[in-house]
Amino acid sequence: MKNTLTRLLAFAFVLVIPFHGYAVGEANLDVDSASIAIIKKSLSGRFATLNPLFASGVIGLTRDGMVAVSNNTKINQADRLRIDQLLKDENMDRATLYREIARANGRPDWESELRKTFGERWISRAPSGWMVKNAKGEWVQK
Amino acid sequence: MTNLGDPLKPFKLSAGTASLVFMAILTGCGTTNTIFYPTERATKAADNVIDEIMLRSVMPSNPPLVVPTPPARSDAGK
Repeated sequence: MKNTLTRLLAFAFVLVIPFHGYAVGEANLDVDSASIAIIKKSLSGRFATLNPLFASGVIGLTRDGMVAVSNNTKINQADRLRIDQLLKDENMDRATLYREIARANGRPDWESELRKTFGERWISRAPSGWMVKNAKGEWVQK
Repeated sequence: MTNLGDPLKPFKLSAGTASLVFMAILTGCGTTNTIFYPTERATKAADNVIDEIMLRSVMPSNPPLVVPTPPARSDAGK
């Protein structure tokens, strides 16, 4: 009797383990919650303004998924305040985006990993000529 | 001939122990799946979000109206 029960348990173990892993591990990440949609809209609305600054090398992409000034000498005094405010707003939205994606998926502790992933993907998908930070923390032209 | 007994006896588990081991492994697997950061799925999600942000910014929010053109009239048979 005990032997039969042990065999049944072993059989159930073999059957359940693969599906258990599949069910828990393979669903897509949720990036479409109401709060994420609002942030994405805000980011895409600002992107048209940031795009020429990226293209001219004034600003660039950092490895943690943020945006920063890459060449101060290209900014004149009149534009400085406007660009500083743009970057402040952009980075605030990006930080919120990463935090909200982590929260929407029930894993707030993934936020820093998500920042890294987004950092890599932004740099990977950036057009040639944009300024990006390399692994040494130096600005280089992609 | 000497009877050595069941050589696998030390490795056999009682039903209770086996079920405990089974539950522990199941719990462990479930926890492991959620502890590890899903790099591949996160990369895919990041790509989708980045594309959406970059593409939406270059697309007009209100696409131009397309006025349907009437089908060409055929004068054949007149």
